[in-house]
Amino acid sequence: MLDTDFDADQEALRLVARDFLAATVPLGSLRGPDYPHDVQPTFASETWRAVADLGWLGLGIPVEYGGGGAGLTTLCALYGELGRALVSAPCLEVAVVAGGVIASAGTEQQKTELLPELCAGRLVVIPTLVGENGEIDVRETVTSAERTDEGWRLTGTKPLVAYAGSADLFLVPAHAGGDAAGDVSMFLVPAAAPGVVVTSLPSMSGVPLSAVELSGVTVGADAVLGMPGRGMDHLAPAMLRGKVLRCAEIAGAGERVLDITVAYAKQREQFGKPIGQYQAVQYLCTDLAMATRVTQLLARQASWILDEQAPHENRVRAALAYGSDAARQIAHCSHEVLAGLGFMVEHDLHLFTRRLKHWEMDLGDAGHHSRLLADLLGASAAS
Amino acid sequence: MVDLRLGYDDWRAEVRQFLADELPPGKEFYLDYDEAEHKWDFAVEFTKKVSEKGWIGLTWPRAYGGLERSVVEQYILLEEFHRAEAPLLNLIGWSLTAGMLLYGGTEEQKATMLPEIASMKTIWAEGLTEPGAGSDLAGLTTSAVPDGDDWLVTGQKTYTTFGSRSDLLLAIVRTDPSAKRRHEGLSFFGVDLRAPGVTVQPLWNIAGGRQNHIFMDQVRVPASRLIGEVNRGWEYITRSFYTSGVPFLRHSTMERKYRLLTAYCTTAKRGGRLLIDDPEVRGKLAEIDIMMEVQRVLAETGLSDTVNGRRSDATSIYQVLAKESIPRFAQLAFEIVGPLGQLSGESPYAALHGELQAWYLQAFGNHAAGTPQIKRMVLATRGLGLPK
Ligand SMILES: Cc1cc2nc3c(=O)[nH]c(=O)nc-3n(C[C@H](O)[C@H](O)[C@H](O)COP(=O)(O)OP(=O)(O)OC[C@H]3O[C@@H](n4cnc5c(N)ncnc54)[C@H](O)[C@@H]3O)c2cc1C
Ligand SMILES: Cc1cc2nc3c(=O)[nH]c(=O)nc-3n(C[C@H](O)[C@H](O)[C@H](O)COP(=O)(O)OP(=O)(O)OC[C@H]3O[C@@H](n4cnc5c(N)ncnc54)[C@H](O)[C@@H]3O)c2cc1C
Repeated sequence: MLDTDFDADQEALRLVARDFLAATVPLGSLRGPDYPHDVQPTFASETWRAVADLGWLGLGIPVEYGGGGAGLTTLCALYGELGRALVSAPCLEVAVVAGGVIASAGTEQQKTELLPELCAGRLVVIPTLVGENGEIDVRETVTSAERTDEGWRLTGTKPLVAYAGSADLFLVPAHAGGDAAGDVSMFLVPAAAPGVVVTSLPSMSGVPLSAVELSGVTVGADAVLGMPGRGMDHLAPAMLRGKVLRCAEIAGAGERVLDITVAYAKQREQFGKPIGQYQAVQYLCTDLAMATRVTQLLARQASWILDEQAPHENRVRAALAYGSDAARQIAHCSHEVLAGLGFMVEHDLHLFTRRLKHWEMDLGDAGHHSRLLADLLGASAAS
Repeated sequence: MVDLRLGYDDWRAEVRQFLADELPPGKEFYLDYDEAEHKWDFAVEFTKKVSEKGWIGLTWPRAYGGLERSVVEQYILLEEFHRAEAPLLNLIGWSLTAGMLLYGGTEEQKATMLPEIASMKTIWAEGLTEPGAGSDLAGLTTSAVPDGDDWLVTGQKTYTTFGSRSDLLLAIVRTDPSAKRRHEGLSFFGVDLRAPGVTVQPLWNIAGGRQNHIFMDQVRVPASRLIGEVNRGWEYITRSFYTSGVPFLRHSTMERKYRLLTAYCTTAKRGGRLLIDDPEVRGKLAEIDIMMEVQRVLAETGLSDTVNGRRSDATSIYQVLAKESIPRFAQLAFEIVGPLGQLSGESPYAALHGELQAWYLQAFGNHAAGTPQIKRMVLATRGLGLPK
């Protein structure tokens, strides 16, 4: 039986983060320069530096490499707040996914060189995970790595990379040595390397997205991260942890959407009564509240399971499937309550709508995690 | 049981040929919620061609610029237009305004205003909603007071689609502030949107288009623009919603999207497999197909009820299901296409030429013409006789 409440330190961190982000990241700061026509968000560099200075980027990185050594449960407290504030910076991508992979797969030299810089916010390592045709399973990429005398030559396109424009290094999964199927190898590719082309792409997503094309990019032998052909050993756990924290972010954003929605339902009157008095509206608000709270509880439980290395991957997958779908439901319910107002750019709701859609699909949508859950259930039924 | 479509093959072929001639392939026509210049100009040009055919007043009496054709022919026409997502303008003019004029307009209004709509001389916007009156239309406060032979209209309308492009606003306003019940003492006017005292402000929407705020400050409106008789506005609007004779055909719009989606599934691969070969994708496509089938049978039943003068429950059911199916469709399409559906614009990576993300965002505009919750209330109270 698990008490998912945060301990005193975690709660203190959460409150500091809440206050700091409320003061420094007003929703208005997420609106592009040519608002309302330009709704493409940009990388919030000041927030990024502040988050690094506060030690939050390195929070989950081992202490010996400049991090805070905290577990996923503590990160849950932080990411709930980052989600609530819709922080427009790749904290999760860099610190949890890329940082996690480097900490687990890197050589001692790679770890000492890269991780302290990463924790300090000076080195932005961006994972490039979605495959050429939108694949979530990283092994389905067609990006290839050919051996050369000095190292490797990489060719392929990652069509959906968040915050690519801010990257110093890309973490690139690719099939090495002509083996187009099976597991991937991982490479660290400098964004400035010849043959790397980053094209910013317009989208509805509320995060800056780009295509990253690698046309015969050559990197040294030391650019390999971990054993060639064993990429998933490190990537899969990092992506799993990343999606747990995405769900914490979804719940954090959900709490704020709930506040906005309930406040509106109390204040907006039609037919002489606050609309919140109508059961149709109450059902929508309660659906929103339930989806948010359950996502939060499941994410916290999942983070505890992963911290404890408890044998409950099925419960983690269930959390991710539920939380991904909750992202959709949160936006839907709020739009139903706000009706015409929520469809207008002058209201902030759409900032959440966009980001929630991205988070719903990022690191695997509900269908993806349900399929993996079903595989686990099938395997355990068969054994 | 009778097939209402029988005998209309030639008519359908004629409409299809017209659309094939007038809608250049690859051009973006989709105009819902948008007032962008390049789309508007093409839409005007296109709708003028429809008007030259006489098809705008297809079912109206000849005396008012119509062709006196049947509602079945109108249904077929609109079915084909929706399927092609043809950028037909002035929907408010030829459905709501025309319906209201035919029901309650004076003889002079019918003889002048209807031909102007049929010939695309006047484009109308719908001026119902106000900041304080959305679902509760009868809560409106815009007022008109008599001044000599004219009326002076003061107040604000909001969410007005095509407000910056239209000539006239079909505005419901309060003409008898002392009426005992709120929905008594309301009247409709055709307010000239270019008259002194009218200010139009943009209200940008999340799907990249716009609605508008319309501010009216002592706007002078001649008595000839008071639709029908004074203080009968509520009767007119409720009757016109049901008697404008314009069928609801959202599902036909969905058909075009469904075609694009299935075409995508038969060419796009994920993980080396065509999407159409993925059992989960097939299940979702089937769900969409069922959704369209349900709406089609309801729309056709509503039409048959109209043709035979029967009271129709199908229309109320259709309204609920059509509203609720819009976000469901957008979600299913996203689940099928996956993360590349987020991309907009013409990049080679954008799935469905960037249309999918637009469908998704547009789906949040499904509150236009009444929220799904209100549509359910109408079904419950009017349809099932449940107490209000
Ligand atoms: C894209 C778009 C285009 C539009 N174009 C036009 C236009 O051209 N002209 C025009 O006049 N208007 C237009 N509208 C306005 C539209 O008709 C209103 O948005 C709609 O009627 C709902 O009103 P509201 O947005 O004020 O929501 P509200 O009425 O404030 O509703 C808010 C919430 O309360 C619920 N609610 C309200 N009353 C009840 C009740 N009694 N019981 C249960 N639930 C209730 C609603 O269902 C909704 O969930 C447009 C709207 C949109 C989104
Ligand atoms: C902008 C807009 C566009 C619309 N477009 C369409 C359309 O295209 N097609 C269509 O069929 N309908 C349309 N409607 C009508 C809508 O679906 C309802 O019919 C309308 O909102 C009024 O409800 P009613 O018909 O039950 O009203 P009535 O039964 O005529 O209402 C009588 C009185 O009861 C009040 N009343 C109604 N409901 C409540 C309630 N829940 N609580 C307290 N008082 C109430 C009304 O304000 C009024 O005073 C539209 C409505 C709006 C606001």
